[in-house]
Amino acid sequence: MSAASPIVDFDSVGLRYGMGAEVLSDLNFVLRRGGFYFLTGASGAGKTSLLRLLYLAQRPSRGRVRLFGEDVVALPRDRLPHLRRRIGVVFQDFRLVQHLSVYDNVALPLRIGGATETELNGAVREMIDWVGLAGRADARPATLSGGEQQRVAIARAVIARPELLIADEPTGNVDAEMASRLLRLFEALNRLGTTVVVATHDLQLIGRVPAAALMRLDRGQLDDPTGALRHPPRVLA
Amino acid sequence: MTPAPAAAVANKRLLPLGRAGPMPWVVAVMTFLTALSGAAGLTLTTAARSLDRQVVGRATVQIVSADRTLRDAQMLTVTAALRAAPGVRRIDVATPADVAASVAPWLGAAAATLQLAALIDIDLDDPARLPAIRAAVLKLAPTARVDAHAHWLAPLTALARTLRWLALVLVALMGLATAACVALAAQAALDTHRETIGLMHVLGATEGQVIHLFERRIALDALLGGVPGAVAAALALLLLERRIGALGSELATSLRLEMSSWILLLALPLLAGALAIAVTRLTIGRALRASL
Repeated sequence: MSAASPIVDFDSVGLRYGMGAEVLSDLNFVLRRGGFYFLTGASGAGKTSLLRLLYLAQRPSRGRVRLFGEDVVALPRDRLPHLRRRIGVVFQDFRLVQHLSVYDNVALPLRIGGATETELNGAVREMIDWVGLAGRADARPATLSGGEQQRVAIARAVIARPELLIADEPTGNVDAEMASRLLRLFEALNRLGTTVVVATHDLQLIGRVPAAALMRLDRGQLDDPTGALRHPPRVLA
Repeated sequence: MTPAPAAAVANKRLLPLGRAGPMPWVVAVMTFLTALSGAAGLTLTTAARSLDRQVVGRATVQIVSADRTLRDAQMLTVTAALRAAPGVRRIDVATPADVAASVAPWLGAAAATLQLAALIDIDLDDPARLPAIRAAVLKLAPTARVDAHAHWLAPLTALARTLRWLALVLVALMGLATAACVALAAQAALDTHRETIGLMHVLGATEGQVIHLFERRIALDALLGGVPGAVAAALALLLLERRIGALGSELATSLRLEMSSWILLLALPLLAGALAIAVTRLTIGRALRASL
């Protein structure tokens, strides 16, 4: 697939929970492979709902969503796990498994994906080292600081080399220096070919990646201030 | 990467399920009661079959006459005719003297003065021959009575059959109750670990991988409860069998479990484990399908 081919394609997508009003309406956009996107908007604008659609935790109420060229609305349920394995997610609240060590948390996507212990050991150690937690591999999440937990969450999100990385307010719980380091990490992954979508309120963070496309949600409607959703963005590599 | 074997994920203790609370105890009680109900059903099946085998084709001919000479002559004639009749497998004659001797302990010397009937027990190889036999006997001794044993024991056989069905219904109800208990335990475990399951879901875990995390633990709990429940039931049944054996009654001693029934009852823990796995798959699978 070419670097600028769509990795995500939303066509007239709407989402409502139960019988309530639509929280997302008429979303039409394309994310290009290898792009770097910021998603912003006020609290309650629908950022988390849009991310849930992107990482396949939710199906739209209407419209069509294509991920990696597959129509996920029409796809049988048993095919979805294989698509999910191509996506890395960094949650705002980290969602680390509290009774597992740092090592086991980071190894989780590889184990789910079928890697043997021998296959995954080197990759997991290398990833833990990469996020600067080499000495804490056996620690439980509860004994780590917020920043350390964030790095474990990121290591887990990228260990399986996802094609699409989604981060929900990744700098919400860390200090400015850590935020800067995380952003460098995302840029490095983006340079390696990963499409990155970062939901954030942090305008400073957005300003640090001038080449990124900006998606702004306002009461469930998508605004495209940079025009990058209609036109292919520059790939950072 | 190929899809992960479900066991590989489960082996990493992704869910600290621990002991699932009261489930082994509930399964133990259910297995105990199921084993007893099942044993009752199986025993009654055996007993009803044995009773059928014993009485089907069996009849008693009573030669009744106020005239002793006529009665004795009819007894000899009828006995000879029955010996010659086709399909009569066995003849057992109790002369009036034999009958008098059997009641003598209660009646004393007066027994010898009573006008007692001569009794001829017969076994037919086919119960359908009975009308022909009855006709032949009445021709030789018009006052004689021919009674089929099956007729007397029909209410008892019917009772045994009804009790057997009742026992089977009880077994089915216990199975349903055990299944409901497993479903509740699976649902509770799922609710407890919803966050971890949600995460595994997002990371691409298949339904099979998630289900396997639960079914191993729940099947183990079912076995932990099922084994002591079945052993306790086996001990209770052995004790009952000894007590029944001590009665010395032919009918009572037919209330015994056959070897195949023992094997079935001792396999109950495995059946409980299999039921637990099936119900867990159904419960967790349905819950996961509702999530996306």
